[in-house]
Amino acid sequence: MDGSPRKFGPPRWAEAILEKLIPPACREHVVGDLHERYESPFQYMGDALFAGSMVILSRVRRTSDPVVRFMEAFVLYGSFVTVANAGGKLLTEQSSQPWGLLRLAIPPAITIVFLILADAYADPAKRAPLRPVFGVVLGLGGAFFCQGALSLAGSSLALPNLIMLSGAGFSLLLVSTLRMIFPPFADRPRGGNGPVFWQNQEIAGIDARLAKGLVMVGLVLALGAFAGGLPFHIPRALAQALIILGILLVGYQFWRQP
Amino acid sequence: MARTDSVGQFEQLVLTAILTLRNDAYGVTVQAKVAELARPKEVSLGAIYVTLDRLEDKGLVASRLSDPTPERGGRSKRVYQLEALGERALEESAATARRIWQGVAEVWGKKWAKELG
Repeated sequence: MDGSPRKFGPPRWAEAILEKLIPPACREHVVGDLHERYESPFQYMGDALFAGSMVILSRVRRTSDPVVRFMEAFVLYGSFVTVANAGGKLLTEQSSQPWGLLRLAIPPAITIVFLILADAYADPAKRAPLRPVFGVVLGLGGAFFCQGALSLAGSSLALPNLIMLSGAGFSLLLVSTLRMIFPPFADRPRGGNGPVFWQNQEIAGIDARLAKGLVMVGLVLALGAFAGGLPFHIPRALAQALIILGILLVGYQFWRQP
Repeated sequence: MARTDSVGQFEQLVLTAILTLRNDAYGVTVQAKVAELARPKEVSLGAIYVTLDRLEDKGLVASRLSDPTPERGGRSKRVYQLEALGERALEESAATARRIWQGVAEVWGKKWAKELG
């Protein structure tokens, strides 16, 4: 990588940066097109900036189902609010503080941004059985990083560690389950426009035994929460909803077996 | 016969470009052709990519990767072609454009039509 322009092509370093920024699904043809259009470094930079940003936005649009994103955001925020409500005391404390419940939305918002980017930058040529879980782990990692930065800065927006840890745990369980039912775009069959749930397909290619195991773990946790067997309290209605969701998932697992 | 999604003017231009370019419709050539059709308006490559993605989502065009070529730094082209649904959408658009043309020419006269035609 010498940084000097080649005789008939764009500078290697500029092309290398562009390759990193363009999502893998579009990388090959977009970088090739810009290489073919190359006239001068200045023209190449302009093309890369405008075309590259449009390609990224288009990829984000294609890989983000607004309804599924809304469900993910709802589940994420619900997890953090539920955990903060433990004992009915902390929620009151949260409400009375500056920014109130809004600061509970910071980790979910960061997680959603990471999920959007993780889906947009997923390589459709590579199938990863644990991609639905990986995206959530990455997103929550980003949320932890931002919370750490807020804590170090002494900001009042930082959440207590207990809420952050418990909320992240709940989020991981619920959002991963959601993403197995509605898998990321890269794992969906091409050309299918209907809701993924109604398509007779494997759940994100994940091993059936692992999927069943995860569903059972979710069900046991929900039952435990319902029976009060967990160290923290969650509302009865949420526990009931979790149990119904678990039963539906188990039923679906049996129904889709050939 | 299934109804086709309505297509906007820019989408019509892109579909026309793909139709005329036949087997050589990829990002760079489609952008050049659309710029020629849309003159004097300028057309960016980014807008072409976004529109091609949208047309593919609507099922109006299909794409495949070609073999890598040296003038592209050893990279492949994404070559587009019209699907049956895209051809029908373009036919409907052309029929509408013809009716508009006839309506306007009736009022503004043959001389105007000849000047522009």
